[in-house]
Amino acid sequence: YTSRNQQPPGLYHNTYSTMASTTAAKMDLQEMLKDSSKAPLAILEHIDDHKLHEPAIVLKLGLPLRKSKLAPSQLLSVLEQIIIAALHQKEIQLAGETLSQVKASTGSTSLRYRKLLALCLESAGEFEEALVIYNDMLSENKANVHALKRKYSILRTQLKDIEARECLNDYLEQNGSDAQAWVEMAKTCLEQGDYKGATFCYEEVVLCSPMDTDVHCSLGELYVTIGGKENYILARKHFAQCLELEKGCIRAMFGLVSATECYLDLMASDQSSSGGKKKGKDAWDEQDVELVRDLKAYGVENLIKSYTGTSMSGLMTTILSSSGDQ
Amino acid sequence: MTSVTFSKAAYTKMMLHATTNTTTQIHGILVGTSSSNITDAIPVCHTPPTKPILDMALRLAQAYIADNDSGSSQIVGWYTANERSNDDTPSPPTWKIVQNIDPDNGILAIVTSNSFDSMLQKKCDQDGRGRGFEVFSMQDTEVPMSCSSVLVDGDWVEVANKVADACLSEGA
Repeated sequence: YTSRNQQPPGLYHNTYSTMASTTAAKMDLQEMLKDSSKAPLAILEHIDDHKLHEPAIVLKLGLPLRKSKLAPSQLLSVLEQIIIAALHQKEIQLAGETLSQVKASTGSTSLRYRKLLALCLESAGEFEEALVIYNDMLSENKANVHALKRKYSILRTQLKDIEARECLNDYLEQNGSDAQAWVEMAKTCLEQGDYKGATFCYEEVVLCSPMDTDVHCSLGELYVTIGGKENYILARKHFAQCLELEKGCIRAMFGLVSATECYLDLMASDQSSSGGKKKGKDAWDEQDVELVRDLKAYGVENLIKSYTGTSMSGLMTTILSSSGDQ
Repeated sequence: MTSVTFSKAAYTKMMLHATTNTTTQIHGILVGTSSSNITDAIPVCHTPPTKPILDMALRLAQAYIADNDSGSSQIVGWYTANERSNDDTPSPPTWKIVQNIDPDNGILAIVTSNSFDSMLQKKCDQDGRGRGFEVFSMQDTEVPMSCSSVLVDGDWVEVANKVADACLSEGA
């Protein structure tokens, strides 16, 4: 599913199709810039529609349009793009001047104006003033996605981790399908060592992006980190899926070796402490153990093969051959 | 206060690792002849560390040390940098890693924002203030204590300025 025209069945958000469509939009932009008959306004609209990050191009094309005779809605869109591009380019004065032009047009109570004002305040480092505006927006509309995201960003910048996590939680309660937000929540969990929380978040991400190898790899690593027989089984499934999607994924191969080793070590210590007398669901299935040994051998063999001919070849053979003896 | 000696190689590698990954946390292994003498730094990752990463990294580091040394060196600590500017407190997982490496004498070096900024602007002084990182030690104490650091060879100003040039050079 690497072509933007191919959508898999069912409703899910494929990161590959998003990346592919952004790349295509960037290529279209390059073509439009070379075409001298293309109106600057059309190019700016293309950048806005596809959410491309091109502040230099926006300023170059947008500044001459500030005083042109455009329809009010078109002019406001251009001014908005100019302000955001100016903030990215650290041209705070230009952003301020353009903001004044927006205020003259819409008034100070307009939601769009307040959003831009808050962004300018953030750029100037005046986070508390920006927070006041965002909190006002949220009191008017609790589901204001932009205000929630910016509030979270400010709290993270201020190192107010507990409040930031609560804010992100509020956002996720209303926007449970936002995979990026789940990744962000996983990041905050991992900073605190909350691996179970991070695993929960990545399980949500994998529902949105089941073809993403990084997500499967991360999930596998988290399950190994948490530990336990069931988690080692889940870990190896995710590493196997990652290798199914990307055969040469070195990180997944390392993870697979690690997960299988942990499983076998746990089995060895469990059997030596119980004398091999466990029954029912606590027993170690012989077929499963054989499968784990095969998976470990597969991982070791492929890792050694991947590093053959490199400067790390000797080191890899040393550590993996010794682990293969276990 | 405990003092830890750093080699130029270890110092440069830590700073370069931080320079090439400015928007993510970084982690790496500190190698030395003892916990007061750091001879090398081995970058590990720039994502939150997990067990498979740590397991393989430590094994590779052990094999590398055995290969390149006569056996005088060992893994003595960990270095890290947080993702956010002004977030200079080592995270709980980082402390856990150091305690697992050596619960009695483990060393933790953390790249701190203001100090790193000073180093890049070549404002490091003779005492090492503005060198780019701080060091904590578990030696002779139950809680991690900040400790001073010295260079094994050269003075902080000269070495820090050279490291800044390396970090800001093209390709870094």
